[in-house]
Amino acid sequence: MDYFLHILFLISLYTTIALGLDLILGFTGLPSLGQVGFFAIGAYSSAILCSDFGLSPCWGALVGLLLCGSVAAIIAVVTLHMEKDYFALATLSFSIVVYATMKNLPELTGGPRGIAGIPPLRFYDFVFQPPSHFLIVSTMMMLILLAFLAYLTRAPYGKCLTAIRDDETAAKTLGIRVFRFRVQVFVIGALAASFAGSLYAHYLSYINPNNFTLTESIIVLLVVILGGSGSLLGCLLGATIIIGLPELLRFVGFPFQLAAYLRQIVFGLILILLVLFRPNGLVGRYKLR
Amino acid sequence: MLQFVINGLVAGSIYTLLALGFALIYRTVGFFHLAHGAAYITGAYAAYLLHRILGCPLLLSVAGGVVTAGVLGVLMECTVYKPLRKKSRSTLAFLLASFGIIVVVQNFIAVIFGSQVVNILESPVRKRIVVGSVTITDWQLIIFLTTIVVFIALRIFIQVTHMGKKLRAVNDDQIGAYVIGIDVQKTICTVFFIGSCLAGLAGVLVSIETNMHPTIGFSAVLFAIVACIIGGMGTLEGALLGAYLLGLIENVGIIFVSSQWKDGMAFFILFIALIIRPQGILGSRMVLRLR
Repeated sequence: MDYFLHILFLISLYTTIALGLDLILGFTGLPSLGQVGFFAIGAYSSAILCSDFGLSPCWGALVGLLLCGSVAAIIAVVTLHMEKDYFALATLSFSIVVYATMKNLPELTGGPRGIAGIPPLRFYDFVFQPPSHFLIVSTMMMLILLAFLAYLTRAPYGKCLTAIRDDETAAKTLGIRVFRFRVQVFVIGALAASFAGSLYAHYLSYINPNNFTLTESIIVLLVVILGGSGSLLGCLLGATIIIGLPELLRFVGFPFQLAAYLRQIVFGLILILLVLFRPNGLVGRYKLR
Repeated sequence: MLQFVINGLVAGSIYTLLALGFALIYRTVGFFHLAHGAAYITGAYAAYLLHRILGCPLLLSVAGGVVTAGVLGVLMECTVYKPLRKKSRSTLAFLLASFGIIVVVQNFIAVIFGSQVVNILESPVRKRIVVGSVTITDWQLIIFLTTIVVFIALRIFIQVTHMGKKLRAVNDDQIGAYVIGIDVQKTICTVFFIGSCLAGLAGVLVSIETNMHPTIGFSAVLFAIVACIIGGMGTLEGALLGAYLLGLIENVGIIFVSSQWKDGMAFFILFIALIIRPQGILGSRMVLRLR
């Protein structure tokens, strides 16, 4: 039962990050590969502040949000002048630099050994127990974000985003300030990933740089593309399949290491097949042309 | 200090081989062929298979590895990129498909060969040549010389031969080349073959000199991209310059920063380069469309 709740927690966590990416990629057409970098910054902020400095988890999450927000704004302003391919490359470099930083500053981030002993979430005397209580928090986080994004995308704001995605020049002629919108969605996506990261740190109570590698970038990307870019519920669907299915296969009984490789191979194949034959994913509204 | 420069030149040679192949492919098809890294590790592991497991002589295994990598490149083009091109997909689609390919190939190799490091030669003992205060191994020298020879050969090929002229035509204007009667598809396949052979050669050389494991394919291609962008996207000389610069900065930078930061440093350099001068040192007009 606990295991099942753990899977549900992961699904809601990845949905939150994917919703951020969906806003950036699916609605605004920016291929960002930097979500995992912000995920890591949020997690490490919480970890460092709560376990090394003993602050309460709220402060950890808040600082994580502020840090990610500022970093995202800087990166957005700097990289959004580039062509799409170069933008993807730049955001990927960002994630890699974050990973390298986490691995190479032992005094601050524990280096490759990571940070252990992150205190659990507590609300006065009530201590949140993983996974059940965390699941409630993560589901609430996901639903709040979902509601917010649903409102945002149905409002004129969302129409502007899809206009920018579909035809940037035409959007500009209508007076839409393309650059401003792009920076804003990039920051919103980063904040979502950061908050998810903080929650993740408290859930695991031990994080190390290997939680934030290329594999996680692939998973988040695949969740958005499989579920459907441009569709919010598609993220939930994508996360359920990408996270849930491999867990079902766990019971088939492959040796652990082999299973990890096979999982990656399947992800890669799904990505190729999606791009070739169904670029709008399962329920997406944006054909990733 | 000089030792670091020598190390930088050797590393730069490997980057050059990777970057040359990558630049060649990029000039022709117009997107970042991330799966270049797949050719890199395929060449190494094919040579490993031939030499260590099947017992073929070294030179034959090297050649076999290189050719296998080239064939893989052609396969990638024919099975994935050609259909995508027929459907006139955006470069983002190509990028994602390329991403998928390298993930599949890397993990496939890991399944077959395991994830531990491999070296093609049985004994890691190297002949060391000492000149003054610097030491260089025999294979490092071979790597450097091979790279220079390959570069000159490639330049001559592109400039002088019939195939090279077809290549340049397709690079400049695919439709125009088609109109003249050049078989564009065959030319693209040739480009992938040559480019992937270069990557495979780099992989074989690295896994002779040091070692190889499946997951470095991706970082290898990223280094190639950094080299190309720094030096000038789209020209062979740019790839050469960027690659050696990258190798030197990485290895000489160890003097100032701990060696742990080597990888992160490369991407930091990429980030700065993309901001300051995205067309690279030797690059020409580049359409910056996102403004």
